[in-house]
Amino acid sequence: MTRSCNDTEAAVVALISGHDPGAPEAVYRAYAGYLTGVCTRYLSDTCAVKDTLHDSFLKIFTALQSFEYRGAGSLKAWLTRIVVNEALKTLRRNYNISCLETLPDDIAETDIEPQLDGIPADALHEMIRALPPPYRTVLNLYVFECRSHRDIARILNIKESSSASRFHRAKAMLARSIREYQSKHNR
Amino acid sequence: MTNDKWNDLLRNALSDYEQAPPEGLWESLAETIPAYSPAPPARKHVIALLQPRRFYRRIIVAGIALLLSAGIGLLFLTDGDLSQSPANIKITNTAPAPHPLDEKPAIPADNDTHVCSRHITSIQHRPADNTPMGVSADSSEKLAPASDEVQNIPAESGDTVPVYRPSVSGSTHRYIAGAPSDGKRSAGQLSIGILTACASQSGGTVGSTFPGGNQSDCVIPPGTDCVTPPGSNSNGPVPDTPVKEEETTETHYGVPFRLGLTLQYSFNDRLAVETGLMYSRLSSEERVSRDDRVTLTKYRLNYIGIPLTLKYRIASPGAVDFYVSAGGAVEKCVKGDAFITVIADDAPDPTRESYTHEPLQWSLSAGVGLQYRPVKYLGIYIEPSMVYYPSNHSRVPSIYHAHPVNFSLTAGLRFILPR
Repeated sequence: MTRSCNDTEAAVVALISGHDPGAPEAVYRAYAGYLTGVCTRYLSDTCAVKDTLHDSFLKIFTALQSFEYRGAGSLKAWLTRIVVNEALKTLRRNYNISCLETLPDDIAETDIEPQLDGIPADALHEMIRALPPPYRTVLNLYVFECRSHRDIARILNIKESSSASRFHRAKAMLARSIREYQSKHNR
Repeated sequence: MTNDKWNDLLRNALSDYEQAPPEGLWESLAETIPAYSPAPPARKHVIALLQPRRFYRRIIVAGIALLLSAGIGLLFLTDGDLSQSPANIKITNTAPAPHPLDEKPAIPADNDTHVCSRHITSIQHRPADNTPMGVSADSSEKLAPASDEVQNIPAESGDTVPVYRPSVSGSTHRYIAGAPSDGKRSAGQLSIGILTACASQSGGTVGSTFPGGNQSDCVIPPGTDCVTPPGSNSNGPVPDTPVKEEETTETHYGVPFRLGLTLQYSFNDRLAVETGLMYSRLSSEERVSRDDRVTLTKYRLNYIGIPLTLKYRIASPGAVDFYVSAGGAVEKCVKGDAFITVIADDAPDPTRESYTHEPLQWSLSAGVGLQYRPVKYLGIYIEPSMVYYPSNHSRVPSIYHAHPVNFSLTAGLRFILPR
C-alpha cells in the first residue's frame, strides 16, 4: 500500500477506535470508490451493484464497532471481504452460477498470457465485467481473493474440477479480449 | 510467463482501481447514520476510552444513584415510631396493675419483666386515632382502670421508665417485633446469591438470594425507654377496661431464603427489563409468655413471586458494567403454616394452622449493580439495593412487616446467552 493509503487508513481507524460519530462517513468517503470497483467486478447489472453496495455498507456500519485493527491493509481487506460476500449472495440470488449454463465453447485455451502493459485499468476492468458470470466469479475469487479451487468449489457449490475449468476458460476469454484491445489500439 | 505471475500482474493492475459510487448511494445510507450509535468501547481498548469527561460523568451518575437509594432507605428507616414522642410519655408505675377481680394481690414482678411486658407495640397496626398502643383500632376496649392505689403511685424519682398497660383483645395478639423505643430500626439485611443467569433477548437467570435479616427480639433490656402512647399518663383519662394479664412476647426472624429464575430482555445496549419467577421462604418464631404459660409459634411462609426490574447500563469501562436498577415484585403466600406449642401444666397437644388466603405482598426496590464479564457469556455481579415492603395487613408476623425497608445485597453469576 502506498504511504497516502496508509495515512488514510490510519486516520479512519483512529475515528473508528474513538467511536467518533463521523467514522461511518469517513469510511465511506475513503473506500466507496474502491469498493465500487470490487463490486462491479463481480456484478454487471447497475441496479444490482447499487443494492449490493447499499447492503454492504449497512453491514459495515453495523459491524464497525467490532472491527479490530490488525495492521496496514487490514481495514481494506475487511471491507473487501464484506463486499465480496454480499456480491456472491446477489449472484446466487440472481444468477444460477453453480449451474452449467450455455457457455461459449469456441474458446481456445492457451498457455500464453498476453502482456498487460499499456492496458488501462478501466479497460481491463470492463473486460472482466464482460465475462460470463460463472467464469467471472471464479476468476475474481481465484486471482483477486487468492482462493484455492477447493475453497471456490465450496463457496459456489461446484466441483473443484469445475472451478479449475472455469478459471482456465475465463483466463482464455480475458486473454482474447486483451489481444483484441491491443491490436485495436496498436494500429 | 508463469500462470501465477500473470495472475499477480492482473491482480496488481486492479489492486487500487476505483470507480465512482452509484448516484444517491450515500444519501440513502445517510438516513441510517443517525441510528448508528457508537458502541461502548471494546474491552481491550480501555485506555482509549477513559476520556475524563465521559468516564467521570458516569461515575458521578452512578454515585448519585447509590446515594439516592441509600438516602431513600434512611428516610424510611426513620419513620413511624417517632410519633410516639417522649414528650407524651408519662411515668406511672413500674408495677403491674392488679386486676380488680384478682383474689391474690398483684405481686410486682421484677422490673425487667414489667418493662419488657409493657413494651408491646404494633408497628403495622398503629391506630390513627391516638388509641393507646396495643389496642386494636376497632376494639372498643379501653385500658383497664387501674385501682386508685395504682393510679396514685407516683413515679419514683429518677425513674425514667414509662409504663404502658396493654389490653388483651380476645385471642388475637398482634405483637410484632418492635423497634427500640428511640424510634430507630435495626439495620438492613444481607443477601447472598448463589447462582444467576440471564440473557440479552433470550435466556434465563437462575439465582438465589438470601435477604437476610437481623434477628430482632422485642425483649427490651432493663432501663430501656419504652414507648408509651400519648394520653396514657396518670393524670389523664382513665381507661375503664381492666388489665387482665401480663404478657411478654419475643419474636425471632430467620434469615429469609430466596431462589429465582429470571429472564432479561435488552431493548438496546443500555436499557433492559428483567422478570421471572422467584421463590421465597420466611420463617419466624414467636414466644408469648403469660404467667406460667408459654405459647411457642413457629411460622413458615412460602411465597411465589414475580419480579419486574428495569436496568440501565451507565458505563462499561473495560470488562466491567455499572448499572442502576429499579422495579418491584409481587409475591403470593402459597403455603403458610404455624406450628403452635403450648408449654404449661395443662398444655394441649401442638396444633397447626394454615394460612392460604394471605394477601399479596408487594415490594419496591432500587439499587445499583456492578458486573464483571471475564468472558463474553459469563458475568459476576453484585447488586446493593433498597427494598421496601408496604404493609399488606397480614396477620402473620414476617420480617417484611418488622422491617419494611431493607438494604439488600445480592451477588451471583449471570449467564448471558447469545442473541
